[in-house]
Amino acid sequence: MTMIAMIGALYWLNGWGCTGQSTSPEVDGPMTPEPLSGTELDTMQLARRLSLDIRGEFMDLEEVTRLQTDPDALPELIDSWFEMPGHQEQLVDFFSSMLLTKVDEFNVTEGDFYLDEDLAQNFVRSIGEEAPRFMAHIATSDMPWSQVVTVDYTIGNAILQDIWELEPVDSSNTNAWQPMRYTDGRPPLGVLSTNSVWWRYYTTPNNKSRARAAFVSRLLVCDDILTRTVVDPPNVQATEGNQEDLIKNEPACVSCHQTLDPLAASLYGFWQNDMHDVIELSIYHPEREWDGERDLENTMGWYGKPLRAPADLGTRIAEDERFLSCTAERLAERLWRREITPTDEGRIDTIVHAMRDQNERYRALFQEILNSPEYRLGSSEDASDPRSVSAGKMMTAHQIRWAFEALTGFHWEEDGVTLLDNDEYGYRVLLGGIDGRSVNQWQQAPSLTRQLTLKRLSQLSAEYAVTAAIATPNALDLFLQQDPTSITVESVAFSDVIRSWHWRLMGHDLTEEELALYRTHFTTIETEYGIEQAWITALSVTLRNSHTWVY
Amino acid sequence: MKFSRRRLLQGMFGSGVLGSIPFSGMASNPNERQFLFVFCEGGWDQCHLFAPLWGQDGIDMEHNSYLGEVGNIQYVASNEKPAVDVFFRQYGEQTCIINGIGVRSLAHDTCLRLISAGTSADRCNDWASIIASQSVNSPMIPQVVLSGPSYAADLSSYIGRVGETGQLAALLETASFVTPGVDALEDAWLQDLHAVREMENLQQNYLKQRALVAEGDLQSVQAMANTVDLMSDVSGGQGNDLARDLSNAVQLLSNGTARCVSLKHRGWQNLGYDSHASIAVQASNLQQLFDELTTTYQQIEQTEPELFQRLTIVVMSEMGRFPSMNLRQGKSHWMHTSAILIGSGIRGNQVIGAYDSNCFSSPIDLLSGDVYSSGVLLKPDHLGATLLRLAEADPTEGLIGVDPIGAALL
Repeated sequence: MTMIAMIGALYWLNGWGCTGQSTSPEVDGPMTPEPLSGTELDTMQLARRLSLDIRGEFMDLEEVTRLQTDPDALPELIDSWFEMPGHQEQLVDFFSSMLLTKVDEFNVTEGDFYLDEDLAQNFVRSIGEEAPRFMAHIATSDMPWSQVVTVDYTIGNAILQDIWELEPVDSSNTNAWQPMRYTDGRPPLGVLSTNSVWWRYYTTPNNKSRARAAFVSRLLVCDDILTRTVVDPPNVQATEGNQEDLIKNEPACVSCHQTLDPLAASLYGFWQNDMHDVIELSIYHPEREWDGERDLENTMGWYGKPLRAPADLGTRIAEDERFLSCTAERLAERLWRREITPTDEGRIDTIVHAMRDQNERYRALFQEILNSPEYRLGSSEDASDPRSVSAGKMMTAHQIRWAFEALTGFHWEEDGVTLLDNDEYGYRVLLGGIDGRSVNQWQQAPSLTRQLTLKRLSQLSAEYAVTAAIATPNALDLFLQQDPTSITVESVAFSDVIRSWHWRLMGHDLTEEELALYRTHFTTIETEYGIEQAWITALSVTLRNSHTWVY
Repeated sequence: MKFSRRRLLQGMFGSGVLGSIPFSGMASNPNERQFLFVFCEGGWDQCHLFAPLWGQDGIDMEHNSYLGEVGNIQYVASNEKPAVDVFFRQYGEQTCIINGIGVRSLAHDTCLRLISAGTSADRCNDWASIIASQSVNSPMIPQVVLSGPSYAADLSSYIGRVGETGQLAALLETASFVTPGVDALEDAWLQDLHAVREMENLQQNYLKQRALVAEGDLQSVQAMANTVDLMSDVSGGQGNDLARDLSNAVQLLSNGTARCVSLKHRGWQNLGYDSHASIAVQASNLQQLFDELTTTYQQIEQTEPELFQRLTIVVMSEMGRFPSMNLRQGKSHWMHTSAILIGSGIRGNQVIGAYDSNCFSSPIDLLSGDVYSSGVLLKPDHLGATLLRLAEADPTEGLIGVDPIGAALL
């Protein structure tokens, strides 16, 4: 449990945990953030960072030009970036990294639903993306964030509609992913009512939904019960006969189980008698809702507050003081690209207050974090300050995939499988992504595997872009609407193209020394392999350049 | 021009990023211990190998099993897995079984992190990555992950992943992506560009330097004649993934490419160890595992005597299996497991720890390894501390103050 969540937990338990009252507390003004010494990014570098974090793309030439002439245009650009499809996809990636549902395998396959084998990848991705897409949907709406655990619908696509018999909320909606409802009587718990989550976090007869409960508390209030220090009970050895007794009475066991077991008891409607049975897994079981209380010999509850029924769970979570601070921590970790430390307590508190003042909207939270000095840090004066690492971030696998595709049009696919979103045949983890099982964190620093994958992606992307530009010069603005083979190395157009790449991808101008290097190497390759290959290589090295993917 | 990892790292230290890099700066050591991690992912059944508990209520032992005994090693033997007997007869002197490691969880994800890294936190570094990152020999890929779990939140730059189906080999095949001659020219071009512009700040410079090290190592790997074969999914041709992975692991370790190699045993016919039904497959799994371990260790002993002296093999599974069978003749999860340590630095010919009559971990004395009622209940931390001690690696935060299982060490 992080420091801030721990403080929140104590506050919660001491303040209201045993009273049964459910109203939110009166909150004083925010804490004062710890000062951060260092300089802020300049406008162009800041814009580049914002563009990559909000929509996962590099700026286009028009945006660069606009900022060069009018730096005050940045707020307007930011607003527009929030409205782009890339923002939704960024959020899906963020939430996927929290939920870890985008795994390559579940306990049942497409064959169990009599779907064609060709749909295998779509099948696992549809299931895995249900929950993160639902969270992204709430995050981009004007609704308060509490809706993420209280609404009565999910986000589905054609595959999910088919296999789970979902009903579209709006039958006129034609989007591939759209709001849909389960038709099996499950309670309105938002993300906690998605099969996506419970297929990923299944339970077993011995576990009694406790692992699921631990996931809920970790995800939504940042209380990682599994990392609590457990003192070995003196002179007590668990046996099959005394295990349940110890859980209820031995202080070392009770410290976790008094939280875990009531929460686990509330999740039995999602219980599956057979983890490989499609019916058991797919439908909610209202008749089992109360089995948990019997099985765990505990009443349903959330951190000391009883639940009248499983449907109460979402409301209880949303009322928990830690819910918003955890939400803020989770997003800040991703945008600051580091762990949250006790030093951040004041800043997180400030951000949460600001979010609360803006109807608890996720977009407000996102913007507050983007406005924080920690996010805008250009260079730190104190290298020992753990916050200084936010001054340099590596593009995630998703950002690279999305940004390169937006830039060059290249989509790395084989036999219908998006290779940068798959680990069985593809390169998601090799590029630094998350597989949801054994790799649960974005890669933080380059490795041989990541650099090789980046290299091959860059080469393929560059080849695709150059070929496309030769065929249709107006298709991409990478070559300023010209056929690259008509741009000679000594021409002004050559330096214009390279300069535009530097501004767009790196946020800075091209130096004469760099231009000379481009010309020298370009000529070498052109002489031996032709001008088309020279342009492919020029673009590839630009994509691979650390100034492109460090931001 | 080839990059020099040491030169680049030294350059990095000069820029003040020293504190964030777990690099000892010590002279290289040809005798540095190397490690091969073999994961039996899914949860092996202690009643098929480690826990001779016949006649106990509520415990379903392997069908038709009996007590095997080789030297001081007692185990569950059966005619279904003669390879276990063969291995212990041949290499029991180098083998130490550690029984009764309590993982305190029943969820695969959590247990995998616990047995690999001693914590259930998502953000963790496993023993293999810690050991790899502290190598004084600057291997090109400090840890090669051929398959299976790998947790390296802060140490990911030391990890080279091969991919579930050998994707790294596909990426190494230059001709599939670009004219081979152009590949080298592109690298030189990039290198020149990197040389003429500084990054904006220390953190950015750190990332850039790590990239340069990785790309330098990449060039070295590409220059190795048989690298693609070592990383490939199809080159082994020895009948199963385990044989191929073990063979490749030996080459990666013997030629100094890696300090640690980790791989997963997918089980007999890829059926895995998570036997919620048909527990009998565990015997087939162990038969294949020990058969391949024997073959591999023989090969190392006969053809790589220096590696044989410095290699420690760690075989583990994230959990055990519930003592009694379910209605599908399978077993659910169990929060007690075992590990097998083989080779360099290991005091062999012994079994440390035990399972009690309920199949729970028994406390032990860490120094003698004897079951001792006032002793210590083994946790993954003890295993981690033992491995780091073997590797002469500095303990990480979570292991400071944790005693190794001294009885397992020479």
